[in-house]
Amino acid sequence: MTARMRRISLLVVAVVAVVWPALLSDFSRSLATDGLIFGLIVLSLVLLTGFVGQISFCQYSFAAVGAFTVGSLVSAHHWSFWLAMPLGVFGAALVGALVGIPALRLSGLFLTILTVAVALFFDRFVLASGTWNSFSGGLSSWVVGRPAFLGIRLDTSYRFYLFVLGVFSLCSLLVWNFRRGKTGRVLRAIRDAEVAASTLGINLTAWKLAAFATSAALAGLAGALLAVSIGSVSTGGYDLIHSLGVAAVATVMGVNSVASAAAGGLFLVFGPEILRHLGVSSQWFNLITGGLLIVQLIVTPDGMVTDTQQKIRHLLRHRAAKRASETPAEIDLVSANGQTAGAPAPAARPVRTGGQR
Amino acid sequence: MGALAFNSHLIPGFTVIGIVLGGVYALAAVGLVLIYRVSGVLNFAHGAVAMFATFTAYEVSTVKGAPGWMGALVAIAVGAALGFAIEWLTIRPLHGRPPLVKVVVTIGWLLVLQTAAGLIWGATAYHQPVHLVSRDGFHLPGANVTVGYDQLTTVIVALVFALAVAALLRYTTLGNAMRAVADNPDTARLWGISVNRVTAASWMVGSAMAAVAGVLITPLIAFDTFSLTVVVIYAFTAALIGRLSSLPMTVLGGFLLGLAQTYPRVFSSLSGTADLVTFALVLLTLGVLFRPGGRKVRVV
Amino acid sequence: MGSSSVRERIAIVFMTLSVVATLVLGGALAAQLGHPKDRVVQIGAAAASSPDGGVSAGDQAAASDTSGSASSTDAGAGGGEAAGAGGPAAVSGSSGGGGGAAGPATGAASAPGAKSAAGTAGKTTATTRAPSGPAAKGGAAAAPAPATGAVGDKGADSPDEGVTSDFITVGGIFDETGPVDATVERDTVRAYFNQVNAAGGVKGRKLRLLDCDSAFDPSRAHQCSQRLLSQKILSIVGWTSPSGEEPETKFLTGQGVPTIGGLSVPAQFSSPLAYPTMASLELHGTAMGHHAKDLGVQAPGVIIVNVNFIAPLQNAMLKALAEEGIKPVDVEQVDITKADYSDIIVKMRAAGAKSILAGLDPFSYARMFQAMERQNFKVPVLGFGLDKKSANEAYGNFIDGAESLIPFKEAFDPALANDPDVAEYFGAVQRYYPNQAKALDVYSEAQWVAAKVFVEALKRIPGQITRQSLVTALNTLKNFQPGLIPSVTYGPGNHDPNHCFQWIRNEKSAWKTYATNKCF
Repeated sequence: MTARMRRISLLVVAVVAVVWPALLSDFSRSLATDGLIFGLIVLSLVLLTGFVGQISFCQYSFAAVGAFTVGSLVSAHHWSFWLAMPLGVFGAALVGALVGIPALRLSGLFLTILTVAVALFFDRFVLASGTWNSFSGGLSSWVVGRPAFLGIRLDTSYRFYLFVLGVFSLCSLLVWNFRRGKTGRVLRAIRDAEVAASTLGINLTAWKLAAFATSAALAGLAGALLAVSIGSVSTGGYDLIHSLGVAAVATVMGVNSVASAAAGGLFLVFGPEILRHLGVSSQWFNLITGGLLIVQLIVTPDGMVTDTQQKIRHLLRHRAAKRASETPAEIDLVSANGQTAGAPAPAARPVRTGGQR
Repeated sequence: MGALAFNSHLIPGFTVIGIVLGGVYALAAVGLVLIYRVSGVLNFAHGAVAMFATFTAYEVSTVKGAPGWMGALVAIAVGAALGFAIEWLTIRPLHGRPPLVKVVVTIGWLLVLQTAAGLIWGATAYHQPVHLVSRDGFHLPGANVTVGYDQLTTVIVALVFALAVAALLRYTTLGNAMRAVADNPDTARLWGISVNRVTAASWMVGSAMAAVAGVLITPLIAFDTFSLTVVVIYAFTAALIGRLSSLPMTVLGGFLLGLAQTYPRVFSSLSGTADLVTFALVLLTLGVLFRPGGRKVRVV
Repeated sequence: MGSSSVRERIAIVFMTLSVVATLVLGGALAAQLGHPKDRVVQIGAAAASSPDGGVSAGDQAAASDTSGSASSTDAGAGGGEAAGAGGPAAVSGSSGGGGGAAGPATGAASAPGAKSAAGTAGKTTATTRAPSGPAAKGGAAAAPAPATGAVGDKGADSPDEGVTSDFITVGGIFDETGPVDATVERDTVRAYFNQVNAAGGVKGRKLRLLDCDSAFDPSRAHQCSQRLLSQKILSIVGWTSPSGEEPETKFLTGQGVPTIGGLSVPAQFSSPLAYPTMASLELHGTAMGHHAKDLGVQAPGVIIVNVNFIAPLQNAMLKALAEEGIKPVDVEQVDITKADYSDIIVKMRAAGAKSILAGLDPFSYARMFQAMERQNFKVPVLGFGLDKKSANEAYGNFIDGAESLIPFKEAFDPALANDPDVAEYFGAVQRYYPNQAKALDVYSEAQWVAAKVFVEALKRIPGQITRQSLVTALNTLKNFQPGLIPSVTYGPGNHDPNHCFQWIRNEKSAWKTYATNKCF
C-alpha cells in the first residue's frame, strides 16, 4: 500500500467519522463515543501484545487508575479535568511499569497469570471500600462533569464525540508511528528474537518497561475519558471480566494492526446493539464473541482486521506482480512498509506472542 | 471498624477453616494441572466446564428428580465430553502455535459456556445445588470448629484425585504415555505414542475431575454461572505452587491458598485484606518458583 | 508508473466502497437505533384469558430481551393483539410525529428548542430550570394539538416524552443478570401496569415499561439511561439497580426526567426530580439499631456486605446502637461473593457475640445462615430484607426465629393474607408472573408502591401529560394511600415519605408481623 493510497483512505475515513455521527441520534453518538474509548483500550493491547508480544489481562486495572484519579481529584478536590487527566495517565503508566518489572523475568504464560492476579487484586483490594477510600470513593461514586476544551464545554454528545475522536486518532497515529519507525523495529526485534536483540545492544529492560508503561498509559487515558463520558466513577466496572472481554475482542480483531482498535471498540459497543435490534437478547453477545474468538484463532489467526488488511495487500501485490515486473524494488518496499514485520513473503505470519512451552 | 486486632486464639479454628477452603481449591486445581502438564494448555475454561457439568447434574437430579449420584454420573460424562470437544475441536488444530494462543481459545470457551448456561438455566435465578453429601458435620473440640461432611469430602476427594492421578502417571501405560507427551511430544511420537489420543485422554480425565469438583463444591459456594470460574482462577495459584506439574504440591498449594485467604480475617475486619494476601502469595510463588533459568522440576 | 496509478485508483475505489458500505450499514442501523421500532406490546386484557402459556412465554420473552425495547409480558397477548401491535408501532415508529399531520412539524420545530433546552438543563439541577426543557417541548407541542383532534379529557400527546395517543411509556433500569436479580421488581411494576391496563388504562392510554439490564455494571447502567432516554420515556418508574442508581439519579435529574421508586439511595433524597418510595437504607440502619434494643439484643456481632447501596446502613446502625448503649463485640465487612461464612461465625463466637446484626443481600444471608447452622451457632439474628421466600429456601433451619424489619406491610405474613392491599399486590404478581411470586421481597414492594404513585399522579394531571406536569402532580400528593404503606406525601423539597417500619419474625417459615409503626 503506497503512502498516497493510505493517506487517501485515511482521509475518507476521517471525513466519514466526523460527518456521519452528526446525522445520528444522541444515543448512537454516545455509543460511538464509548466505542472509541474502548478502542483506546484495545489500542493499548495492540501496542503491548502486537508489538512486544506480552498478553495482558489487566488493562481495565490501568484504566481504573486513570478513571479514579480523575474521579477523586475532580470530584473531591475540584481540580480541573485537564490537570487530573495527565496525572491519571501518568499514574497508570507508573502502575504499568510496576507490573512490567516482574514481566521481565516471567515468560508468556506466567506473565498472563500475573496480569490476572493484578486484575483481581486491583479490583478486590485496591478499589475495595476501606482500603483507600479517598481514591476509590469507598462505596459511593465520584461524579465528574464534562470539562471545557479550549473554552467550549463538551456537554453535547456531538462535541464530546469529536473530542474523543480527536484523542483516539492522535493515539492511533502515535502507535502507528511507533511501529513504522525505529521504535517499532526495536520492539518487533524484542518480540521475535529477544536474545539476538540483546546482543545488538538493545536494553531489553528499558524497552519492555517502556512498552508496559505506554500501554498502561493508553488504558489510563481511556479510563479518564470513560469517567467523563459516564459522568461518574464507581467500583464495579473495572474488574477481571472486563479485562478478559477486551482482550478477547482485541484478539478477534487482531493485535497486529492499529485499525483493529477502532474496529474492536465499535464491535464491543455496537455488537450488542445490533443483536438487540435483531430481537435477540444481548446476552448472546458474549457467546458470539467467545465463538468468534475460538473460530478466528483457528481460521484467521492474525485477527479479522489484520487478515483483511493482509488480503487487500496480497490482492494488490498479486495484481502488481501480474503486470510486468517493472519495478520489483518498489514492490518490496511496499511490502516492507506494510503491517507485518519485515517478511517479504505475502504469506500470513502466525501470531507469535512469546513464551516457551 | 477496620481496626486491626490480632486475635491469636482464632488461629486453630481458622487453620481448620483454611484447610477446608483449601480443599476446594485443591480439588479444582487437580484436573487443571493434569491438562496443563500433558497438553501444555492452561485451561481458563476449567471452571466453566465444571459449572456446565454441574448444571446438567442439577437438571437431572433437582429438576427431573433423579437421585444425586445419577446426576453426578451425568455430570462426569458431560465433563469428559466437553473436555474432549475442547481438545479435539479447538486445541488440536492449533498445534504448533504458541501456548498463549491456546489459552486465549479457552477464554473463548469460557465465554461460550458461561453464556450458554445462563441462557439455558437462567443467569441469576436461584438454583438449588445438588447435595451429594449431607451438610451435617463433626466437631473438632480443639479448634472449636465444626467441619461438615460435605466439606470433608471435598478435601478427601482432592487428596484421592491427586494420588490417583499420580499413580496413573507413574504406574500405568497411559500414564507413561502422558508423561512422555508432557516431556516432549515429538519424541513421544517417535516412540509410537499417539499424542492426539493421549492429549485427548488428559483433557477428558481432567474435565471429568472438574465435573466432580463442580458438583462437590457448588453446595459450599453460590450456584450460579460464574462462581466456579472465580474459584478456578484462584486455583491457578494452587497450581502455580505445584509448579503446574506436581500433584501433591498442587494440593499443598491449595491448602496454602485456603489458609492465605482465611488467616487475614484473624487480624482484619475488611473484605479486601484476604485478596491482598492472595496477591502477595501469587507474587511470591511466581518470583520464587519460576525464576528464569530454573528448570521446572517434574515431580509426580 | 501509469499502470500503478490505475492499480492505485482501483484499490482506492475498492477500499472506499467497502468503507462506505460498512458505514452505510452501520449508519442505517444506528439511525434505526435512534428511532427504535416497537416490538410486541404489553396488553393486559388478553393475559387474563391465557395465563399459563401466555405468562411463561412472556417470561421467556421478558428474560430474553433484557433491555431497551418493550418486552411482551404475554406473548399470547402479543400474538392475539398483532393488529394492535401494528398500530402503536406505526405511531411510535415515527415518534417525531405524534397524532397526525401536524405531528412531524411539531417534532422538527421542537427539536432545536429541545436541544438547547436540554443543553441548559444539563447544567443545573434546580427544579425550575430542568423541567423547562420538557416544558418547552410540551409547549411547542401543545399548540398544534387541537389540530390533531386530541380529546380534552385525555390531554394532548407528548410524543417526545413517551406519551402517545395509545401509550404512556416509562422506563426502568434493573440489574437483571449478575450477582443480583431484580427481574422480580421489573415484573412487579409490569403486573400493576397490566392490572391498570385491563381496567382501561389511564387517560385513555395503556401503560408500558421499557426495561434495560444494567447487569451490576455502572457503565451499563449509564448506557441504559441513555438508551431509555432515546426511546422517549416519560419517567423512570420502579427501577432497581444497585450498581447504577446513585450516579444515574443525578444524570437523569439533569436531563429533566423524574424517577419514582428505586432503592432509596442518598441521591434520591437530595434530587428534586426523584421520588423514592422506600425508607432509605440509612434509616434502615437506624431502625435496626433501635430494633436491637427492643429485642434486648446483647453483645451483637455486626456483618455488613460492601455493596454501595447497603453501605449507608452501617454507620447509621452503629450510631443507633451507640445511642441505645449497645456495644458490638465485632464488626465485619464481607464481599458480596464471599462463599464461606464459617470464619466470620467462628470469629463472632470467639468474640463473645450473643446475637448477630447483619446487613446483607439475600444470597449472602443464605451463606451466613448455612455457616451458622454448620457451626451450630444459634443466636438471635436481626437483619433486613430477610423475607424473600425464594432465598429462604436456601437459609436452612436457622432462619426460624430470625428477625427482620420492613417499611411496608409484610406480604408473606399469613395474618395479612386477606388484607386487601396485600391481596392486590400478591394477586397481581401471581396472575401475571406466577414464577416470580416467591421471589418477592422488600424491594419489589417498594416498586409496587412506585407504580401506584405514578398512576395516581397521572390521574391528577389536568391536561397534557408531560414530565413537568407529572412532577407538579407528584408534588401535590398528600396522604395518598397506596396500600402497602400508610400514606405518601411529597412536596417541593420533601421527597421522603416512608419513615415507619414493621418488626417481623420468621416462625416456621412464615413471616409474622408483631410490631407496627415504628417510626424514626
